[in-house]
Amino acid sequence: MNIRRTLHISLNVLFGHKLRTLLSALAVGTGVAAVVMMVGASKAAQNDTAKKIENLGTDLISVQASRIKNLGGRARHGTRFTTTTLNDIRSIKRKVSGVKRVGGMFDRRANANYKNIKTRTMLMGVEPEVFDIWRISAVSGRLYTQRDEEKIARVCVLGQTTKNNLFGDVDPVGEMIQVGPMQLKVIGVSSQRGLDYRGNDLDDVIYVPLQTAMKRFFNVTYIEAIIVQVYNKDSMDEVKEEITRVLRKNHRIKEGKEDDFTIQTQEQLLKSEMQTEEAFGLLVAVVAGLSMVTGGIGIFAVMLISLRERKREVGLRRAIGARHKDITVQFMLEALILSLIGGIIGIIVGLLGCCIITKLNNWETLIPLSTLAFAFIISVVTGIIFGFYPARLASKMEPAEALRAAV
Amino acid sequence: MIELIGIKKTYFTEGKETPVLFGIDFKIEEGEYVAIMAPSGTGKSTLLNILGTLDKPTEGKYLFKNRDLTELNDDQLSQLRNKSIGFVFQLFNLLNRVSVLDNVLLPLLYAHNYPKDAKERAINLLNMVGLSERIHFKPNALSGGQQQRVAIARALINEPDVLLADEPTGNLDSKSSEEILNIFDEIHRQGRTLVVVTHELDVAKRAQRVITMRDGKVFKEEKVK
Repeated sequence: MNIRRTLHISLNVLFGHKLRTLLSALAVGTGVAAVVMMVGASKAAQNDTAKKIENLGTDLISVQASRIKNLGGRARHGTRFTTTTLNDIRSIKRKVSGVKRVGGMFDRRANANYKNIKTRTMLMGVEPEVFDIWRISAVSGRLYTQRDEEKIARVCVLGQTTKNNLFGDVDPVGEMIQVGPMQLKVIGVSSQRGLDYRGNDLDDVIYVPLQTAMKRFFNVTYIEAIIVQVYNKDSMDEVKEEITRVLRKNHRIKEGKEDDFTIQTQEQLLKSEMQTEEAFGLLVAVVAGLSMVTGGIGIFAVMLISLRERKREVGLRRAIGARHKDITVQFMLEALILSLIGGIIGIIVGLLGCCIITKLNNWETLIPLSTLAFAFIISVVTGIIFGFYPARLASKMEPAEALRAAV
Repeated sequence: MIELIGIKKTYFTEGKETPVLFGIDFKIEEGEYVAIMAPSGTGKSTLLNILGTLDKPTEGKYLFKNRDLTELNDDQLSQLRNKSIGFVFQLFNLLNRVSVLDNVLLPLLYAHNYPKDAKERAINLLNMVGLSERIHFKPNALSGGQQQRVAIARALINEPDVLLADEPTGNLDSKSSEEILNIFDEIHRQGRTLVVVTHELDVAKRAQRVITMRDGKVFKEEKVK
């Protein structure tokens, strides 16, 4: 059989039935579009998360005073401990080499009000060094200093969101605000940090000296986290090990017992976030795959229906010399053409959708070639799988009987 | 050219036996124009299907150019139909979505080699049946008689040994019927073997010989001219 001629006839048949062809191609197209769109968007989202985490700084190590476990693919704080103190910060500064900056942290949600305007925000006690670590500067007024820290001063620096919530366009420097039971003097407004990788607003915050938070607000002797910046990214692992050793000694943890703190690097954070997103990406792929099945069933139904109409055609083809094989090939070819047309429509629509989704989310638009290849391949496979049974049915028809079929 | 020896056909459906042909014997010589006359429901279609190798006899031998066709497999029979048998049906059986020219070329799709002069050959045949002006039309834009003429051109494209026509004028008015029968005469003059199955005496009388069937058997054979 001549494939080129067969193709020519198949195309004629398909384009003769424009509506039928379009509908079944659209069924596949929808599936392919879903695949391209969902996979593309989730890839873009992953990429975005990765970038945001990298923006936090790849030279940072965080020490959390709790055991962080991966539960359900997401990092969660387990038991919190009260053993990590200011003393640990001093130890790290003194004993661990390769450390550029260290800062302690203690934060809690708190209500703040200025006159009768109220807001609920994060009261974040951090040492002044943390401003340097996070590359925060003052856009108005000043940041607090080591002196303020030592004096346990009643001063605060407002994040931009909190500043806007309480003061609007007014410059807050020099004003007093009420946070919980305490009056604090606003000495500055911090530069913008944006959103973290989970979408939390990092500027919805009131910074106070760490000891102010510990002693004046919460009356605790322990801290929640220590943020460490290293000189050299490559020495990350050694620094991590040394910190572990120092803290275990300070906390008097016996050998064989579990740490009562968790050390995380940005890389680890990135990895665990990516795992979550990848799991989600897999789910997306499965859902998209299911929509391909729908497309396949579309082809299947159209082929079966057209088979009933085309019984006489099959009979005729058999009469003029088509073998079983030729009929199978012809119907498979038609199913394949349908799914290819669908695949192309789907890829175009999917790409458009993907662009729109990523633009709306302000993500970088990524169009991975592998996704396109994947979508293309599954549309072909769909055509083959769902075209096979109708094609077999067609080839198995008795020619004499098929010729007698009603029009 | 064609020899049927004791051809019997019985259909088995749901355990019930329905005998249709009760032993048919006849010969058709090369270049002969034969009509098979039979009222409907007498196994006429069955006989035609067997002659066209679209169906197999339950019993008996079918010799086609001295080859016993009952021993061929399905693919071989398909090849034989493609090369040696041209079909003309009562309902034309054209593909409505493709052009007249492509319809005529269709059998070549299943030929071993696609001849280089295929298009030329098709146009010649369409010329012979008087449709050379219509090669790019779709069949449903043509009259019944014209469609049947396309079907005849299609049946001849592979230069078959025999042309099998099943009630070729059954769906046509008398003027179109006459045109078709004239074309058959012409094909016969060119030396091709023709077998026309019909229940119309006017059609049968155009052949050289008429084989009349009744109740699944050959009732009589007579020369017309």
